[in-house]
Amino acid sequence: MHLNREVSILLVEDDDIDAEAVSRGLQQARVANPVVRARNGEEALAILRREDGASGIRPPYLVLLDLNMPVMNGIEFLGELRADPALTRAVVMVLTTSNADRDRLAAFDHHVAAYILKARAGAEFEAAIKLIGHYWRYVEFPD
Amino acid sequence: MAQTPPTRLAALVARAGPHRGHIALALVSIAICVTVMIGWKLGLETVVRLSPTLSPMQFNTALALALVGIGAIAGSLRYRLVAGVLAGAGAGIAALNLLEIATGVRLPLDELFHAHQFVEPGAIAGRMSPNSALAILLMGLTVFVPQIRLSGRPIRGAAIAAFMFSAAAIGAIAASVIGYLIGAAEVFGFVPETRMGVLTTIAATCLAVPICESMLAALLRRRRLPVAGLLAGFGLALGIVLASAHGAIREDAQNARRAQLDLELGYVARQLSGSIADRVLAMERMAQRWGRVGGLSEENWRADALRYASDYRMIQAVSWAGTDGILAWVEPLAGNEEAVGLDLFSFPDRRAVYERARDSGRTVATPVLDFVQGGRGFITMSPVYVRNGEFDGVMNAVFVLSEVVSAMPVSPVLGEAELLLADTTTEMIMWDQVQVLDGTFFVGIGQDAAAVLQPRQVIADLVLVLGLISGGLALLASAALLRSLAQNRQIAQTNRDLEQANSELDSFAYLASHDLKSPMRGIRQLADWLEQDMAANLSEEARRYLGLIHSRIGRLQDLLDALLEFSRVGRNAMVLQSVDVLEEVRRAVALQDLPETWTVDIRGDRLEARVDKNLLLVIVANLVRNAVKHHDREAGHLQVVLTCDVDDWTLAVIDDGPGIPREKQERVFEMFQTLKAKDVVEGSGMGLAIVSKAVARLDGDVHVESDPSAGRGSRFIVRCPLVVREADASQS
Repeated sequence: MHLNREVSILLVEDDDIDAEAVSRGLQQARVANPVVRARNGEEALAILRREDGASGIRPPYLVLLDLNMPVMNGIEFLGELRADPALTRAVVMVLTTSNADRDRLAAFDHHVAAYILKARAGAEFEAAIKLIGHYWRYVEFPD
Repeated sequence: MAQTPPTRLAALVARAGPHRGHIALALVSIAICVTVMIGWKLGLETVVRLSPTLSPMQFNTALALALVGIGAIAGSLRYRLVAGVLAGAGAGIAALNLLEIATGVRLPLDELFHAHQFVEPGAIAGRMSPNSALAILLMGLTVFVPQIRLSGRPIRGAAIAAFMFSAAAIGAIAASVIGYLIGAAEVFGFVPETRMGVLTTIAATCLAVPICESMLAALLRRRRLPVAGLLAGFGLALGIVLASAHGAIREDAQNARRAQLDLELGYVARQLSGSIADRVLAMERMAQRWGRVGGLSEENWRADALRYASDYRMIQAVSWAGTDGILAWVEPLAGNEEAVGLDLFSFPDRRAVYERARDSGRTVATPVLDFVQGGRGFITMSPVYVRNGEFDGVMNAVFVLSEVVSAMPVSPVLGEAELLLADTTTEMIMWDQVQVLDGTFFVGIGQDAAAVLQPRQVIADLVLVLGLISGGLALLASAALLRSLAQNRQIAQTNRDLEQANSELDSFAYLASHDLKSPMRGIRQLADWLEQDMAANLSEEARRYLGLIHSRIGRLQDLLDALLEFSRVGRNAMVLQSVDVLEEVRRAVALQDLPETWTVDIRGDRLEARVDKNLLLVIVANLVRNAVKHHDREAGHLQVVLTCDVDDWTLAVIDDGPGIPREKQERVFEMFQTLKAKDVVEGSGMGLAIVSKAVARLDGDVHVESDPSAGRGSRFIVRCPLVVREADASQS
């Protein structure tokens, strides 16, 4: 089995508590990968492109994306991402409260790897976090 | 809304946009006017009147109409000053013309701009016909009045006044159009002998229709319809058409009467000429007999003369005067005594006739004379020659005018009037010539018989009355129509406002509940983490507090969910489809997690109704949940009964709970209303409000029947139409 190099996680989430919830979930699932946090799409792009002294992130990475965010929302971010040849292969999982059809379709139009509702708190959320933890271990990343 | 005129041609065309059709028509009108003006200057008759039998469009008419037309176009492009000045000038020309017609004063206006080459008989050169002038004045005012600004604001009611002017103009033009259409333009001119020229009619129609239409459209667009002003405009137009139709029928009847009188007078005149000629012939025969025998004996002459005088009613007397001019014999004697022995030569007029008769050898008539024996009339003198050609005297017949006239055959219309016979027409209003030998007399009717020219105007009056009645009815009908239109407009506005308010409320409820959810989830998460992380170290007290936090968060969640559901009931588009309502109700009840201790009984008519499935589910679910939530015992029984009526269906949800006091029954359908303290029953207080809203969307109503003092239980009754009005619903 080909061993993935350790995958970094870019968490794009404006709500501190939601971000905290993801971090806690990952901790509890014993996923110790490095987590980089962005508060909106723009910050996330800056990190991915290593702009303006942003700390940057090393590939391979997995983007956990919220949709409702200020400045640049998740769908807009996806649009930018897929239009950028350097970033277009990024693996993105949407983690959102929105179960509107419009958002879901828009997300899959941009080829997201998963669309997870975080409204389902508690055990279901933990299971979702575990899925993320497993995901990078068994899925081949494009680098 | 202050708008300035456009400066570029493209902007001009763009601004004309909505008025393009109107402006095109007005341009046609202006083109006709300009062509006619050029036609006058070049002296082209076909251009100014099409055919010599038609009335020309006067130069002033063309000029004034063109000014008003250009003013109207300028007005629609918001060149206010140009519009006001041009339309005012056009209206001024028309107004002066009307003044001339009304007062009979001749101003130097008529041929100020052009000396007219073609004038209709009876018309004044260059003078507009009254209805042309009236129509142009009204159209000019229509364009002029709305341009006036008093301290920067239009005059109050200017638009309504303008509409009324334009409607009146339409009336005046319509009268002329009707005249041309039925081929009787000559009687549709308000004043006899003048009428709106055919080109004027066309050009004025091309201008008045767009002007009036745009005035009307502007009034109809108003939120508050000026019903009285609109009706007054319609009434004015109708009134003018009716008045001119009435005048036209009267004039037509008068023309017909005049023609009839002409005919009858001609007949009478010919008869009279013939009869008098007969008498003269008789006299000449008598003269010839005298001549043949060389003088009759007095006895024979008197017998002859008496026979003529009595046989021919017109002849008052027959007399004989010899060469000395003395009336020797007069027959009949009675009544003519004064004439006997009269010397004709002592009267120059009689002597002249005597001599003419003697010298010409032919019978000659005197002019009208006053007879010595009384009465007026004329005398014919027939010369008598004896065998050797020697003149022997004159044979006279005395015609008294009054006798002559009364001897005439009576004709149908003239019979109503007194006929006059005279050698002048000074006292006559209509006459015809009567030829008496070489003299001319006139038979006619005098001023005091003018009534005979005015036929009874039953038909004209009938048309007027019927027109007024039907016009009045039409106005009443349009008043009712306009009122209901005004009312509908108000209702529509209110509805729009309400819908706006409702949808704003729904959006607000949606956004508020949606955005409140996220911080609420955060709080719950934090409470969870506290509980997890501190599990071992938490005091009993702290644990209880955390429990309370959880329960409040749960209620907040319920409230937000309910609010979301409430807003969704109003926001989502309805999808109406035919469904088996009983089946849908069963399914909706089955979806509810009823406690096991509960029993449910669903029965009723199977029926098909057009409803929105989601709304039906919302209604049933909330009613069932409501019944369970507010029940005061462990076990309960729920009855759901569906019944069908002619055009609506009724769903009754009957529980055996504690019931609802009568005074609180109204309130249960309001938002956030629960009848118990919040901690006792965990309810949002939204369930029945949601039911009420959903039912209202299905055009139905819901009420509760309960009387706790008489027995347990409440009945929630929903009644909806079998077919929901589909005004705002999308079809499935």
